[in-house]
Amino acid sequence: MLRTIALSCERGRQQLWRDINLSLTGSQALLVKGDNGSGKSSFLRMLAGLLTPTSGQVLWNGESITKNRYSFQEELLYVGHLAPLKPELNALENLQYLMNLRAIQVSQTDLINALNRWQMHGKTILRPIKQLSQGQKQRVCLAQLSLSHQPLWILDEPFNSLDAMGSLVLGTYLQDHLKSQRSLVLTSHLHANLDAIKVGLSNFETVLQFS
Amino acid sequence: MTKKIGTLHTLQTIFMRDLVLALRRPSDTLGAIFFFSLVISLFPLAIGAQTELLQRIAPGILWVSALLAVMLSLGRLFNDDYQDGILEQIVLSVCPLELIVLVKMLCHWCYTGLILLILSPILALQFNLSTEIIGVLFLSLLIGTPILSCIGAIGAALTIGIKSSGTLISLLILPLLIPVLILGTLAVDAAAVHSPYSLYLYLLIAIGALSVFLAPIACAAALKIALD
Repeated sequence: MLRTIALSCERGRQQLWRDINLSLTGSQALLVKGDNGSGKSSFLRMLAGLLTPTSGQVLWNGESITKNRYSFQEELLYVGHLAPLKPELNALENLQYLMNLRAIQVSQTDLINALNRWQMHGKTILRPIKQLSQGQKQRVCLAQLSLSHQPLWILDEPFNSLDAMGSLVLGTYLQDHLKSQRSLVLTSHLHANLDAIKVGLSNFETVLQFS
Repeated sequence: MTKKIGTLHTLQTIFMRDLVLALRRPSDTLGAIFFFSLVISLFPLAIGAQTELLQRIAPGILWVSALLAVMLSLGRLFNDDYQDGILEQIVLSVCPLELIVLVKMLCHWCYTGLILLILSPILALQFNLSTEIIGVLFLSLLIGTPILSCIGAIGAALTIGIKSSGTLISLLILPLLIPVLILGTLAVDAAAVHSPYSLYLYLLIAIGALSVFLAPIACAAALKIALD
C-alpha cells in the first residue's frame, strides 16, 4: 500500500502543491490531472523516491521509502516522460538493459514476444532507436510493462505519442495490472485518449487534481 | 513468474552494454588516443633532438598527456545517460547504485585509460628511454590510470546537466590528481637514476585503493543530487 503524509513540493521557491494525504491500496489507480507546470511529474518523481519531499513523507507498506530503498525499488516500475532508451542501441538491447537494471531475467524470446505485443515486429526491433518514431520509442519503453510484475507502477504520461492501437494495448495492460491487485499511479493529458483510459482504469480510479 | 538474476550478473551486463556503446560511438576513445599521441609527439618536435633533455622530461610529458586525454573523455560519462532519462532508471535499479557507478568507472577505464596504457610504451620510444624505465612508466600508468577514471567520474557526476562541462570537470578534478601525477613521475625519475622506486608505486596503489572505495560513494551521492 502506498501512502503519502502531508506531502509538499517546492521548486525554485515556488510552492507547487502542499499537504497531500492519500493512500492507494492494491487494485487502485490514481490518475493525476493538472495543467502544464502544476507539478504532476514532480509528484510522481517524489512517489518514486527520485525527488526529496520539501516536507512530509511517502510510505510503502507502512515504511518510509527512503528507509528501505532497494526493497521498495524492487517493487516499483517507474516510467518517466522521457523514454529511457539509448539512440545507438536497438529495441531489444535497450529493453534487455532496462530489465537488467531490475535484475529480471528475460530470454531473447521473451523480449521479442513483449515487443510483438506492442506491434513491434521484424526489422523495426533490430534498428537503432534513433531511426524509430516517437510513438515507436514509447512502445519500446512500455514493453517493459509486458515483462514486469511489480506491485506498483508509476507512469508519467504513458499515453503520449501512442496511436489508437497502442493506447488500446496500454489500456488492457493497465486493466490486467489492476485486476491482479496491484497499484497504479499515472498522469495524462486525458482528452485525446479518454476511451483508452476509461477502458484501462474502469472504475478503479481516484483522481487527484492539481491547480 | 519473473526470475531474478544475481547482482554480479546484472553488473556484468551493465558493463558489457557500456562497452558496446563505446564501440558503436568510438569518438571518445579515438579522441583520447589521438590527443594522447599527438601531444606526446609534439614535444620532441618543439624541443628538438636534445636527447638528454627529452629523456628527463619524458615521464612528465606522458603523465600529463594521459591526464588531459582522460579528462577529455569524461564529459559524457554520466551526462548522456542523464539526457536520455536512463540515469533515473539507473538510480531506481535494484542493484546498489555505488556498484553500478564502480562498473561504469571500470568500463570508462577500459575504453580510455587501458588503451592509453597500451600505447604508452610505443610512444615512450620517441624519447629514447631504456626498457627498464619504460617498464616502470608502464607500471605507474597501470596503477595511475584507473585512479584518473575513478576521481574523474566524481567531476563528471557533479557537472551533470551543464553544457560543455569539459572545462569545469578539469578545473574540479585536476587539483585532486596532483598527488597521483607527482607520485607517478617520481617513480619513473627514481628508476632513471637507479634508486628504489617501489615506494612511490606502493603509495600510488594506496591512493588507488582509497579512490576505488570512496569515489563510487561520492559519485552515487552526486548522481542523486543531480536528479533531485
